[in-house]
Amino acid sequence: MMENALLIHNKDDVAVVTQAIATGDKIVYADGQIIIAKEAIPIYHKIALRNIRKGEVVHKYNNIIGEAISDIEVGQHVHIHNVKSTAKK
Amino acid sequence: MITFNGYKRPDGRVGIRNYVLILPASICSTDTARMVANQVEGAVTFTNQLGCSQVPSDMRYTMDVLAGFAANPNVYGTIVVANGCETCQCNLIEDEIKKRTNKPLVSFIIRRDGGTIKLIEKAVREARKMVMEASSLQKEACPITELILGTECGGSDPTSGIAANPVIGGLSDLLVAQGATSILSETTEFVGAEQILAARAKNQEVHDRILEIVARYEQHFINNNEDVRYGNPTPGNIEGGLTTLEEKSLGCIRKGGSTMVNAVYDYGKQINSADKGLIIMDTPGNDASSIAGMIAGGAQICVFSTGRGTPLGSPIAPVIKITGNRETYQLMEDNIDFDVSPVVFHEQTPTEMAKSLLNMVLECCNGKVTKSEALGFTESAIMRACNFV
Repeated sequence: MMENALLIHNKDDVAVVTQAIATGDKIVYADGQIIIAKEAIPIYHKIALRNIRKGEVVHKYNNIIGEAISDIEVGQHVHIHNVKSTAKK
Repeated sequence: MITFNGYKRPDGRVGIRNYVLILPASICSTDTARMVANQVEGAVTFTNQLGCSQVPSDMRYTMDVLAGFAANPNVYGTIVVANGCETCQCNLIEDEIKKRTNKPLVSFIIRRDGGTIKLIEKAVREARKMVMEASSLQKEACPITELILGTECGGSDPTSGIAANPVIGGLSDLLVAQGATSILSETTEFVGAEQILAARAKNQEVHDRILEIVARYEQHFINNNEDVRYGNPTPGNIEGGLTTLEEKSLGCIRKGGSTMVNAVYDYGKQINSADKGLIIMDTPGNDASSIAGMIAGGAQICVFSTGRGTPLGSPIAPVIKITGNRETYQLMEDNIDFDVSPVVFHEQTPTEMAKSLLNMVLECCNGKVTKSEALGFTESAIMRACNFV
C-alpha cells in the first residue's frame, strides 16, 4: 500500500498526511508502519502516532511544536483544538 | 566556477536587471513618482506609504530601504522624487544613497520644481536620458560569488516545511559551497527555533546576535501589550495545517540549509561584499517588507516558497515562487514558477530539486523573467518601529 503520511523524524509524535483522510482509513508511514485514523484529517494536517496526554509536549522535526491542551489518542487529528504554542517562559 | 551574465556597476557590485529607479521619498510623492515611471520604458517604482510623520527609529528603516533600493545592483541609476516637507528629506536620502553607491543619482522636489506637472516633465526627461544610458551597457560573465540570494516563505503550509523550504535550503547550500551569499530572513519565524540557528553560528558574537534579534522582536510586541504568537500562524497557515508559531518556525528555518551562520544584519542594512555564505537579516515575517529589507541589503534575486500561494513580486529584483503544494500549483500556475511537490510524494529528493532550482536561478540571472515579473507585480512594504506621529 502507498505511503500516505510523512514522518519527518523518527522521534516525532505526529506525521503529516499527504492525502485527505477519512475516519477508519489506514495510514501508512515510514516504511510500512500502519495506524488507523480515528477521524477525518485534511491533507497536510497532522495525525498523532502515539497517545499524548494533556500537558505533554508534542514533537515534529525532532523539536517541540507545542503542548497538548487535551488528551490526544493515536490516530486523532492534531491541530489548534488540542495543541497550543509553548508560551515563552 | 559557475558564472552568470550581469551588469557591472561603478561601485563594483553586479546587477542582473538594469532598471532606472524612480524613488518616492514619501507617500506625498509616490503618485507623482508613478506618473514619471509610467511614462518611461525601463523605469520602475513602487508605492511608498511611509517617509513622513516618523520618529527616528521608525524613519531609520524607511531610509535604509529607500537608499538600499537605490544601491541595489539591479538599479542602473536613481531619480528621487520628493515632496519637500517630508521627514525623509531629499538631501538626507541622497546622502544615504551616496554612502552606499556612486551610481547615477538625480533628484526633484515637487515644491521646489513648481508642482507635480512641471516636475513630471523634468523627471521624465531625466529618466528618458538615464534609461538610454543604461541600455548601452552590455552584460558580462561574472562569478557566482557576486550573487546574493534572498530567501523568503509566505502563505506557508506544512508542505513549505517538508518540501519547498528544504529545496530552498538545498539551493542555499549549493550557492554557499560556490562562495555566493544566501540570506535567511523572517525573525518572527525563528521563534521556537532560535537555539537551532544559534548553534550554527560562526562564533559567540553571531550566536548572541541571533538570540538578541529574536528576543528584541518578542519584546517589541510585549511593549505593545501583544504577543508575537497572536496572528502568527495566520488564518491561512492554520487552515493549511500549521498549528503553532514554533511549528511554522521549524519549517521556516529550513530555507537556511545546513551551513554555518556567518553574520547577522539589521533590517535593510547593506551587506558587506566580504560577507559570503549564509547570513541572517532581522526582518518581519511579513513577505513584502522582509523581501524589501533583503533587496535593500543588496540581494539581486529572491526565492520565495508559498504553500498557500501568493502573487507577490518586487520592483527591483526577480522573485522566483516555488510551492510544495500540488493543488496550489495547479490553482495558481500563472503565479508560481516551480512545483516541488514531487518531494512530498518521494518522487524526487530536495537535493535533486535544489539543483533544478539553481538552474532556474541562473537562467533568471541571465535574463529570463519570472512569472511575477512578466505580470508586473511590484508589491513593497517597509518594516515599522511604531505608529505615525
